[in-house]
Amino acid sequence: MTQEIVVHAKDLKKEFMSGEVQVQALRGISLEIRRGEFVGIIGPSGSGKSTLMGLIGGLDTPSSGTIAIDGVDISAMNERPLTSIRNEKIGFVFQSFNLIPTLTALENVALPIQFSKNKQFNPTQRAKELLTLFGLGDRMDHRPTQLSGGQQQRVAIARALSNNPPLLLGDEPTGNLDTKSSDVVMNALREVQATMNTTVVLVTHDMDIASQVDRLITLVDGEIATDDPRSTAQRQAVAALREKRATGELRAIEG
Amino acid sequence: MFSQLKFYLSHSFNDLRVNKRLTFFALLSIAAGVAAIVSLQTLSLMIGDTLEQNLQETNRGDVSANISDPSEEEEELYAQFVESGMLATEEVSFFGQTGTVYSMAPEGINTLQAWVDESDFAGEVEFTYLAPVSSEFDVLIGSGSGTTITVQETGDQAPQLSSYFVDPAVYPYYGEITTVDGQLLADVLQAPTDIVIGDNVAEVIDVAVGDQVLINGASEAFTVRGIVAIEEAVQNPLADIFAGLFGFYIAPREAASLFESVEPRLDNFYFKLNDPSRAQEFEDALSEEFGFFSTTSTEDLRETNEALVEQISQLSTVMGLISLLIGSIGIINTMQVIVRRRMLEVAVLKTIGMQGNQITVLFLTEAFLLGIFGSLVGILLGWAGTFAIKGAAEAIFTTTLSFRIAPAPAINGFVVGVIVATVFGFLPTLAAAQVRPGIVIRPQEGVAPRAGRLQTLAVIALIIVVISLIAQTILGGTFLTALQIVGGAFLAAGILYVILWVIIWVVGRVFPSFGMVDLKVSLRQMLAAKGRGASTLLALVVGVFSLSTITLFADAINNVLTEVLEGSGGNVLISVQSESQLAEVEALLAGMDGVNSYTVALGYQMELVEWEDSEGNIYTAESLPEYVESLDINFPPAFGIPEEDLDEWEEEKSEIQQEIIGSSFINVAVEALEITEEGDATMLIGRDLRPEDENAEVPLIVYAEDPIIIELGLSEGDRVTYNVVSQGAFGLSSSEEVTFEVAGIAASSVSLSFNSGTYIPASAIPESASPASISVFADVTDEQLPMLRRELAEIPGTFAIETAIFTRLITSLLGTFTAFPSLVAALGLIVGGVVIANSVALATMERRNEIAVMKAVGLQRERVLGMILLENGILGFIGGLIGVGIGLVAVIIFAQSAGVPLDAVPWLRAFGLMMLCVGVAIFAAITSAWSASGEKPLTVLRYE
Repeated sequence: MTQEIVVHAKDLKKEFMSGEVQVQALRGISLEIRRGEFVGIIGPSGSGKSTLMGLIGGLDTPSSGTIAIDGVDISAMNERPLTSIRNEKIGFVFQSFNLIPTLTALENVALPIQFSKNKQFNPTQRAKELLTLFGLGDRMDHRPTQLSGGQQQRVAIARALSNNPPLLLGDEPTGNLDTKSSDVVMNALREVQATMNTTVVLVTHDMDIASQVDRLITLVDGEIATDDPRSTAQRQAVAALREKRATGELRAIEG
Repeated sequence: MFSQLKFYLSHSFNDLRVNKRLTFFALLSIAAGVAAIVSLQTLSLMIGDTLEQNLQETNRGDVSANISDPSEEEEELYAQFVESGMLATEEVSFFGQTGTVYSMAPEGINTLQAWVDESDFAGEVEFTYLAPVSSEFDVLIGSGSGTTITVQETGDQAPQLSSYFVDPAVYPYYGEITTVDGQLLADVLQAPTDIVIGDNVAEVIDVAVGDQVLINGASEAFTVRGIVAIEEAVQNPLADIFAGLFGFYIAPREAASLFESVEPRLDNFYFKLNDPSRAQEFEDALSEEFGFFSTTSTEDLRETNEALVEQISQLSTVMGLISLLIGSIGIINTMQVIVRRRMLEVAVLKTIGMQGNQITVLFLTEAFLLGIFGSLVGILLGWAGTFAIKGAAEAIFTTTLSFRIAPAPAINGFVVGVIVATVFGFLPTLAAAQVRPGIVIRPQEGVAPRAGRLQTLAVIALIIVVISLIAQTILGGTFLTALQIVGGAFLAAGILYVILWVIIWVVGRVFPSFGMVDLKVSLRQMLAAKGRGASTLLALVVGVFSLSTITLFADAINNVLTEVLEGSGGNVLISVQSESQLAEVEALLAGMDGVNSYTVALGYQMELVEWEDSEGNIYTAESLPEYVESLDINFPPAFGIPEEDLDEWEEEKSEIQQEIIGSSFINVAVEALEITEEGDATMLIGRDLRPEDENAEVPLIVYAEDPIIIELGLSEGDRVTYNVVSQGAFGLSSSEEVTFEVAGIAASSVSLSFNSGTYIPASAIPESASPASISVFADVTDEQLPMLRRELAEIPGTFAIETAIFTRLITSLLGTFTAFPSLVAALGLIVGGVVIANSVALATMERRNEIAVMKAVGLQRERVLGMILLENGILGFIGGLIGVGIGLVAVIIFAQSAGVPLDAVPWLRAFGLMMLCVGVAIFAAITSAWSASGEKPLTVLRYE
């Protein structure tokens, strides 16, 4: 696997006004994420997870500090070039799927390609390939309301990958899914990381999801509290536990 | 590029399809405006078709001619024709004013024929003419022979009828006049006593074919042989206005001999040419030879009709465009809601790489599609609407219109509709481009986006330019003129929008709820959506203002006229020629049932001897002009002339001043009245006359308001001495000196007197003085009016005018001329109602959650609906108050300037229009809110 840096953040700070109160969402975040990593960002409510996601994804600009995506500094970019960066270098997967309801699955996936300047893919062909890859070959002409939650999220993942971006960001991608669907989606994301060498960064508060990542960054009060890689043994242990739960050998603790 | 365009179109189309209710009302806003353009333009084409259809038939010949009144320069020419025997004259007198009516003498017909025979048109021209026994003046005053038909069996009467005495063998040269039974005129008018009557007369007096009728002044009874529709006989309703208003009959020319005491007035000639292409040539030759003819060829008629149709078309298109602009408010509101509801979707699109300008194009495509579909629906509605208003237009123009579907109005409506929808949808789409992509992570923090100030101003400028181009295309003229008009209109609309916004804000905050929860919630909701409320109100105010202004002015003019006429002291004005006839008239009135009261007004001419003012200064008729000059009266403002025109008037100031002072103070016409009750005129100075003034030692005089008299400083108590002039036999006059004391100056023309406005008690006139005019104002019951007319007809030289005639005439004229603008204004109000329906649909869509919560906590559907209706009822009331209020203010200003009390202002009608506005608002709200208020709470709360 190549090791170039896909996300480079240095002393990122973000402040905003909440009513009349100034809130420091991020207090100086510095991190590097390399190509092909499977990273989870976790933290309690108000820790700055979504804010960090927004800055990495080019959806917002930092108050200070720098952020570079695939070698391109986006810290002070205007909206127009930032939009192009989002189109070509970043794929997004959201908790609420955020598919366009009036478009079919095929059209949703083809959409980012149609607005790409590089035109490296044929939109329809690429969309079909991705949907087939995610097991939705027979659902291409279905609208989102005709798909289950898991299917919708897989369509969203396919859309996020349509321009083959180096970075895929997920904001609580399994938040609205049941356990089985969550597993399907996580498997899909793993597949993406493994086969396409795409860097996957997930924001989550679900420990189950967090346990499946290779590297877990914990945010507390706008700062990185921990940044720990997971060992292979740890991941295997978690995988075994999950299998037992799926077969009913081990019931998940409720509440 | 192609794939992007396909995306824009399919995405927009799908979105419109999915959001059915939103789309429906937005389409309706555009459709209403386009329908107005299409229906009005189609109507004007139909009118043009009808007018163009057969010009010869309309003109009743290739050339028509009638004898016009001479101008000052032409009097000598006319005198020559009279002397040669070509023309005949008749002197008529009307309340002391005399005039001459010209018609062709019987010998003139021979002269005319001889000229034709000797001209280049010999053998090529034939002509016919009408020979009525009454003139238009006779018809107007309902007097004179041949103006009244009485059904012999029932006694029912139809007065003020126009008459057409024709040669049925040839008249009309083109087209046919047929009875409602389908019989030709030539077939039914076989004998001199055969007549056909208009359908409007037949309805009034319930007469049928075969009935015997009497016509006043005729020695024999007539037989009704047919009933003719008014549009068959009256080709030009504006020229033959009395025939259209009061009715007509057609008789053979020979019937004129049955009217023993009158000579038929030979007027209205119709010429038919073997070669109609020479009509213009013939017309020119005829006018040159017989300068008293006022001629009309088919070509003249074509030009007149084209000009008329062009004006109607322009008016229609402008009014339709205004309706469309009103409807465009619905487009703006809809697009704003579309953008607000799809903020998250926009953020997602931006997240995956769609640029801001691409977002704008996406939503602009949606506005464009709304324009296309809305315009298509509007075209269909417009054609259907043409049917609806066709009947009304036929009644206005008293002609049958042939319906046709013409492509031009449809194309115009479509193009303008699409342009307006797209251009007006532009501003909200710019706002869409401002949506921050970051809200995709925090949807709850999304705020309604707005376009930047510069962008907003640029778009408004673009809209004004586009509308100006459209206006220039329609109306012609320069682009700059169109820009000024449109820019001015937008500025006025902008100011009105701000005013309405402030009003809503004030009402929402200040208006008490009286402890009523529903009212409180409604006011709060109104306050929360001030912008949309103000734009909706703007649509409503424009519509109701147009309608109310036309209606209120028409009513006010009617009321003013009634006020003036009723102030004359009666409902009948009788003109009497001499004092001996006056005695007869007084005896008649005294002995007749149904006469409640009567007042005699004797008109005298007086010449000033001297005026002694309150300071003892004495001015004579000779010194007064010099005194007026020395006053250096600020002349223009006294007559309401603007300061900027001062130079132009300065030159004529002296001359005009002398003319005025001469006619209102030095040589003045006064009426001597029997003062039986205290006068109720509005006085500028002093007081009105009272009954006890009849016996005053020094007789009193009340002057009519005049700016020069006021500037003189005439005041109560001043003494004025006049020579009262009497016209004696053999043209000799005499005078007697009488000194008066000034009682006061009455405002404007509303006074005890109907004539000059300057009046004195009857006892002030010396017994030996002869009046220049004699009038009697009588108050007679309606049932006795026909009897009075018959009795007065026995006293030669007298005639009576019922004041109701003027009211009826003015009412009919006002009705005719305001019907079309009212129709068009009503369309504007309907469009305003559609905009309200659209706004309510949008509001309920946005407030689904709120409505669901209200129902979840226990409010019944009716109560929820009631709150929505209350909110819109308040808006409708505000709209009515402003729209009708502006019209009312204009009417009040008019009434005050006319010196009329505020009673003349049609308050009741104004209130009715306001309630209509409220009704429109509530009805429109119901159509949208009914289904919204019925939704199940769980459905909404789960899926919203």
